Amino acid sequence: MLEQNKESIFGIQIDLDSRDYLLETCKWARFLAIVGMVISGLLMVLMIFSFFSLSQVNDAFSGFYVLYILVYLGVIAIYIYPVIALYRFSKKLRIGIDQADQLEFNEGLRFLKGTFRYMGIMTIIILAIYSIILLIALIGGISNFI
Amino acid sequence: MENATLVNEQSRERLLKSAQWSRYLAIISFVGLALSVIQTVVGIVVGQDGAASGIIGLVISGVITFIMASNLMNYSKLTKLSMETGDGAQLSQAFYHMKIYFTIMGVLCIIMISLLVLGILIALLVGLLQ
Repeated sequence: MLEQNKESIFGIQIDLDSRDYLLETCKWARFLAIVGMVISGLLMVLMIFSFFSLSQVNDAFSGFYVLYILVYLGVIAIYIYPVIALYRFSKKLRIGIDQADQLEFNEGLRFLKGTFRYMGIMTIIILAIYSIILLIALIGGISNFI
Repeated sequence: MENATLVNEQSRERLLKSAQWSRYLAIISFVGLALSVIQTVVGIVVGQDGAASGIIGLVISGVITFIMASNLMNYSKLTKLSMETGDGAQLSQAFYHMKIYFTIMGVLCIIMISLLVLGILIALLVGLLQ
């Protein structure tokens, strides 16, 4: 029975239903990725805009600019990784299914895993930051009573 | 055309990983939803202003969040199950749930974009009329 299971695990066909579901998932994933890229592009434009308007006001703070750009670029980079992963997932999965290309299909799944993993890790980080802020607020509130 | 794409050892491992992470995300969504419900209920009990609008917002966003999270959860469960039993039909079901998840996300995105465009248009109109 073990061999039978092994064989069928290695041999799960992507049947017609799966194919339809996956293709539709690809379409939406691609749409979401494109929207994400447009937003990143707008963020970049915003960054350049605000940078220019800032540089006209303060001439004395030159080191500040570098930090500003780095922070902005950092935010954009954080945001754009899952977007790119989602796009590559949709593209590779599409190619893998249409051309029955096993490698592309697997690569597509790799990016799907990457997207979910990234969102999971970001959520953990954000939750941790929230908890720390909450802790600090609690400690501050308690120390006011003492 | 004979569709020969197989779920082989490599994609099996990746599907399992994606199932793990999506299960985790679904659980977090459920917890967040529960917290929102508690917050709204407490708001009503305390007699806060605007608690009524909070209910409407909660119902709408809560239902959407619940549907998305449960679909993600189903995808995760069915994927894990199908990897263990080698059942293609279960994998098909899993992909069906994932498709619904992505569809809802996409439709929400479209709605938000149209609202944004509408908002900008209205703001422009108001600015022009003055």
